[in-house]
Amino acid sequence: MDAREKSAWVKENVSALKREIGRAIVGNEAIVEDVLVCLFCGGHALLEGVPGLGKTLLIKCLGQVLDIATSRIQFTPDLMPADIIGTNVLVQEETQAAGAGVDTRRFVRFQKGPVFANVVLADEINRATPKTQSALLEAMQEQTVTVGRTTYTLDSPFIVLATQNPIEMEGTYPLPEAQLDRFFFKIALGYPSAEEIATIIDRTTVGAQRPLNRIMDADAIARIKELVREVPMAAHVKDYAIRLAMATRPGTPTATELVSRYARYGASPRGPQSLVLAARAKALFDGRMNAGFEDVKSVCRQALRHRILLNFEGEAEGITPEQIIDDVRQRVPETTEQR
Amino acid sequence: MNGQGKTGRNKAPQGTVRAEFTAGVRRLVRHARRDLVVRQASDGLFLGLLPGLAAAALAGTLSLPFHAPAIAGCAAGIGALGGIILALVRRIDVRRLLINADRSLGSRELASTALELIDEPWGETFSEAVIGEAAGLMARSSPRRILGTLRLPLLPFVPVLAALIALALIFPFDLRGLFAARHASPGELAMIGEDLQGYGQSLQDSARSQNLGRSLALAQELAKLGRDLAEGALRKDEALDRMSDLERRLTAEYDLRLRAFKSGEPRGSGHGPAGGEDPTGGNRSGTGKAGKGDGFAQPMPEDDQGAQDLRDMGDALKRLRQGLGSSPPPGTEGGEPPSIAQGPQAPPREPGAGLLPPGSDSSGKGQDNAPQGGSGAAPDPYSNDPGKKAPNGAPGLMPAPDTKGPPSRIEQGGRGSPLKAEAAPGEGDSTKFLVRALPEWSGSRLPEDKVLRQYAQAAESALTREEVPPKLKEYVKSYFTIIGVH
Repeated sequence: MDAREKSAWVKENVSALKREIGRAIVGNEAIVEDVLVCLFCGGHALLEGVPGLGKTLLIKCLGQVLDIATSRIQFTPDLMPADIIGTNVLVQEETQAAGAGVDTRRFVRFQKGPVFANVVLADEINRATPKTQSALLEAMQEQTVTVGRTTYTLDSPFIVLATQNPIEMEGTYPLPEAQLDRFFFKIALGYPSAEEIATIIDRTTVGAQRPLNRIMDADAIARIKELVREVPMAAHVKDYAIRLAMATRPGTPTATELVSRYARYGASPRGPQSLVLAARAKALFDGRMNAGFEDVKSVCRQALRHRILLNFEGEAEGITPEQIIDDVRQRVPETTEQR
Repeated sequence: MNGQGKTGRNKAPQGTVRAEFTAGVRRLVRHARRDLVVRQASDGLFLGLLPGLAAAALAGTLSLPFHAPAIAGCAAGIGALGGIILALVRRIDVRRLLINADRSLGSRELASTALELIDEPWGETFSEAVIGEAAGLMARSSPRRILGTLRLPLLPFVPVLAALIALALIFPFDLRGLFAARHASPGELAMIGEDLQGYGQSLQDSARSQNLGRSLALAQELAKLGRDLAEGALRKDEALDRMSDLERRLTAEYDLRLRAFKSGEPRGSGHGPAGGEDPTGGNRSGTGKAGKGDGFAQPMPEDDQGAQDLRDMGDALKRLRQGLGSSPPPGTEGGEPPSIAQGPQAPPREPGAGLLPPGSDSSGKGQDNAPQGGSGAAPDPYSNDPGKKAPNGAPGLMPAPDTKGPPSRIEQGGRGSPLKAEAAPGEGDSTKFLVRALPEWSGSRLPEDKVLRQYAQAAESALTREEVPPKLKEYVKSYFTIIGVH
């Protein structure tokens, strides 16, 4: 298979995935694509939206169309880290001895938690305590889990798809910045349009719903992940992604006025990493073999919105990170030497 | 259009694909260079025509060392040639060119990425394919489409400039006419009028002291004109009419004195060809022609106080005319106001304060030019002292010069300050001559009495604020009393 065929294959497979998920999820094609970008870039996604927008359904659908292990964790305030990563349990094993008696053997065995899956749905992640939320940190970054002195490697692909609700903040624990930064994308879901609601009603209130077909297995996912990293990106495009991320940092010479005024912290190095990798994935999904400025721009919001922390003035004036990102995108030129 | 249609080019051998892409880039660079040459030549032509236009415009004003059309032509040629040379030696940034090409074609950085992949392959999967796609894209797209329309923003102005140059050469004009003097405001005119009035009054005193009837009349008229201006009783045209009349009479009077001076006759004889002024105010000759157009350009000896007064009146009117934004009537325009540096000419004087007191010694410098002669023993009607005789025997003239040669050093201390001139010592007694520089209209308009009052108030407050011995206080008070501030 040559390069063009590979790129066409990726496009075809991704389109098939989107089509299949689209059978259950009405609208939100961009959201589905963003989740797939996270999947094929090896990143994690945080989906935020008010209740009833299909966040959980979307992730469940993804688990169905992919022939990989999925698990779901409903985060609650009393959830403990061991409930996520697993725990050592004492196992008693009885075996028939060669003589007459029964040989009883007791040993400690690690009981894997739900994090040992390919796709982990962390539903309402902000309802668990920070201690429990932090249980995911190692898994998300290193793709390993350490219990006691033993480190377990998680299977690949590994993706955490977390959801959180921006309202009902009582009894919730906002995610710490360190954990937020580990999410590749933060995807915001909006309300569906009237036509989309009509379609949703038609699909969900008439007849039984057919289960989704499995479209892709772990091998195919791994191949696409490799191909994403092979997509060339010109130095000036990479430079643009870096300048975009740098411009979100207050106190730097390239920071925009809005950033200087309302931002407390800007994007960490994970920001441009996400921008570049996601731009490559976007280009490949589109059947192209190189990433350009538009690809970087198209993933700006998702990759940077959770990495910009507002200061008090920004919070008080109701400024959103999206406003800051749009401003940065508007002001940072694509190339340093414009025509 | 993302330029990634299936062209089959990426099936071509690796070297061929790279060669195709490189050839495409070279072709694009050639076209870009051609565009650059045309654009730079156009800009250079325009920029070259600008000094050409300046030369043509100034040809009517200044005397240029070269022929104006030649300057214009050479400048345009040099500009165009310089532009072409610059375009030929300028380095074309290929990377930037391809970034712009991607923008023009909407190819999402395909060509610029391919350019980088030529030197630094990125992985093995897509590099060659990207180069192949880019080569195909460049082969399909015309350079004009990639580079965009050649824009020559300055070219339309080239014929306009050429036409302007031609017009300027066909119809030369003097640019100095565009810069008329600033007209004085009514307030400023009133101030000028006040000054003129005071000046006229001081000239009246001078004329009375010399017993010059017509000069007295002229000075009175000058003072009246000043008063009317100060009171705002005159319209501009009325003021100009009166000024013209006054200037004509002044010029005529000066002309009469000049002719009397040139003829070598004693100015008091009353028998000169142009006649002169009788101390009684009558014109003795009765045939003197006024206003021959010489104005005050011709020098008169400094010892002729009457001529000095006439000249000063003329200067005052000239400044008033500048304030009104008008040019002097024909026949009355003289040269620049005389200065002591010009030798025999009288220095300008400050109104009022600069007038020489009657009977003072005003022999001045450059008296070598003083007229000799005249045998008449009649008293000089222009002299302050009709009975006084000059050492050379000319009746009524001021004492003969006591130095020879032009002044060797002149110190001018500024407005209103004494002006000193030194000359090589000659035979005879030395003479000191004190004049003050004439103030300019552009200076402060604050009346002197106000300044003095402020000065006195400041001094008074200083006296009350600080410990000053009573004797010194009295000394300061007496000073202000003497200068007339109470």
